[in-house]
Amino acid sequence: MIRAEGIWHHFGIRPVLEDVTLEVAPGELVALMGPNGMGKSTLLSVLAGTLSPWKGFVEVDGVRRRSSPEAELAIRQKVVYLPDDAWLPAERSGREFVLAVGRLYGVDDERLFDHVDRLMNLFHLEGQADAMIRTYSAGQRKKIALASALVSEAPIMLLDEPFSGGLDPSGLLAMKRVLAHLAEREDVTIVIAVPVPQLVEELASRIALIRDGRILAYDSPAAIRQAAGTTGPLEDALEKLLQPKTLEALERYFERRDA
Amino acid sequence: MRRILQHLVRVWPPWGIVAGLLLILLVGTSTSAGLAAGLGGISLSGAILYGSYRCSAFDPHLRGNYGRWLATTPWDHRRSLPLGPVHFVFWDAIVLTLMVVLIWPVHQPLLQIVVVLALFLLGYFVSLAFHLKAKIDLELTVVGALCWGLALRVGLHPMLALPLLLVSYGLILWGVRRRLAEGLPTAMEARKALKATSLGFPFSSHSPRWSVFDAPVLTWVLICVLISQVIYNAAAIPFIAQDLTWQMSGDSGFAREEVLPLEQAAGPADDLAILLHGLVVAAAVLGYLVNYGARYWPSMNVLGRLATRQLVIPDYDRIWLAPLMAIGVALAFPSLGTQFGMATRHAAPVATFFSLLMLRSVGPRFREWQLTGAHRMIALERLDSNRYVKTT
Repeated sequence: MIRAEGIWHHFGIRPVLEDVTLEVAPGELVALMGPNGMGKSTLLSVLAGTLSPWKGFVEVDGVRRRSSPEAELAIRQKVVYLPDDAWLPAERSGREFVLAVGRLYGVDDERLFDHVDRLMNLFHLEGQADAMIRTYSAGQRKKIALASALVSEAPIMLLDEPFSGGLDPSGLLAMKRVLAHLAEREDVTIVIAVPVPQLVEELASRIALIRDGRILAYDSPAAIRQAAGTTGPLEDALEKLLQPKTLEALERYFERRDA
Repeated sequence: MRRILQHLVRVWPPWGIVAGLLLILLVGTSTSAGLAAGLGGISLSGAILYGSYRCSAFDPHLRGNYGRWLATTPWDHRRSLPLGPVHFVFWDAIVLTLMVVLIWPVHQPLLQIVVVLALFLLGYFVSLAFHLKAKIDLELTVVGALCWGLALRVGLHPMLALPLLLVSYGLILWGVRRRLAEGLPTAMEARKALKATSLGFPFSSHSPRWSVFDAPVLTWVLICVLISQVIYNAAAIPFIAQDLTWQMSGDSGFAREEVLPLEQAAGPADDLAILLHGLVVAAAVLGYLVNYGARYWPSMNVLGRLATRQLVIPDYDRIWLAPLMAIGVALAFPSLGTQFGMATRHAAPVATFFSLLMLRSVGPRFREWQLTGAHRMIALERLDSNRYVKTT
């Protein structure tokens, strides 16, 4: 379980997060959504422990992050965090890298080798798995990074924009199915930051809408539609809640063009 | 004889070293001092090179591939090492005796033994300093180095220096044996250790890194004493050189004070001590700040601090305390010491000791800082585009 309590953060003058309180239950898949630059990635970094907030705290399974070296190490062992811009060792092969991450998380070697093979197969990387990461395309790098997060078998996964970065349709499909399976069948707690609503409509148990560093709504997709007063696609509900002016601006744009 | 030859073959230095020594002989003989200078040069530089070679060529902990290969064999520390011994053998005695004899003419045989042994150990220590990241017994090595420094400090007076040098060498070998008894890292362990630090952000920050600022208190105190002793000895080099000249001259008909105007060396020695003190403290403070700050930035910039009216973030800014105190002690102590009648060349190393002590005793330990500090982790991998690539 993840609990963020009263998180405030500033990088500079403008607050990036304002009094954010959030709870994610075990086995839940939560999507952080909102316009660009509104604090999704910052909140994910705070949850991941790579950024210390100005105010507030984060607890993982009842243990506060950064409270003691032992507690923090124990938390890191059960949380895998993949930022949007992860760095990969250029001179290692994809298979070597994914194996090493598995070992870092203490995955048993026998299971690990099998899991890596399945991941390479899932992402259609069998042909490239033993080549140096330097030679990979952007999409292949993204796939290897995602594979490294999945191989950790961590009970908590924090993924920043897992569907972006040049992922092809088969990669998108694979990732959606795997995340749904992990949350539903294996009780893995997943928090993802996603800008595109279509990708998470069927996937997320709850969606946290973030605008200007505040949580506007934190509920199931159905409840969010209801709050927006629409029965249409989630995209419309989000537009109404997050960017009501966008729809007006669009109408004005077309009115002028037609005139 | 056969046994001697076996040892000779095993510890015979590479031909590159032998060729280098012959070059020194040629250069030496071409000087006005002639053959004696060439042989003396061979002897002194040869002792250093031989010490360095004996340190790094036979220790499986210092030769990664050798150690990893050895870990896969049935070898254990009670058996002899396949590529040659790490401990002192008869052949070493022959080589060092040869070097003693090469310092011609032999006025003071005992002193010449001490000089050669001291240089041999100097080579050993310098080589160990290049392998600090390998598994070395830091405490015993530092105590050994302190004994070596003490031997230098007693002006290489043979009766005092020889036992100190032997103790120094004994401590090094004890450390080597202790490490070998602990076992060698297998290839798998070595690979795991390598991966944890080279996986790229954010996995690279998953395990805390080790820094010398994490050394146990006793080890850190020993390191501080050693560094202070190096400054103390370095400042005394003019005195020690004069002392050695006097001893090597073999002319005991003069009183020491008559041939050595020691007071003339005091000024330069004071200047050198202060210079070294400043450089060492500056380097240590810089090292501290790089360790604590390069990967771990404040989570808020100056504008953020102004906006939140929190100019000081106690959980982050505590890392400035140790460097500030170290600099304060470094600046204040030498002048304070001289006011109490200490010579600057004595006050400076003491100040270095206390300054360095501040870096370990004030503020958070590096491991604690990495895991609990109020910072923002930064991916330094961006500075190393040859080794890391970004996902987007």
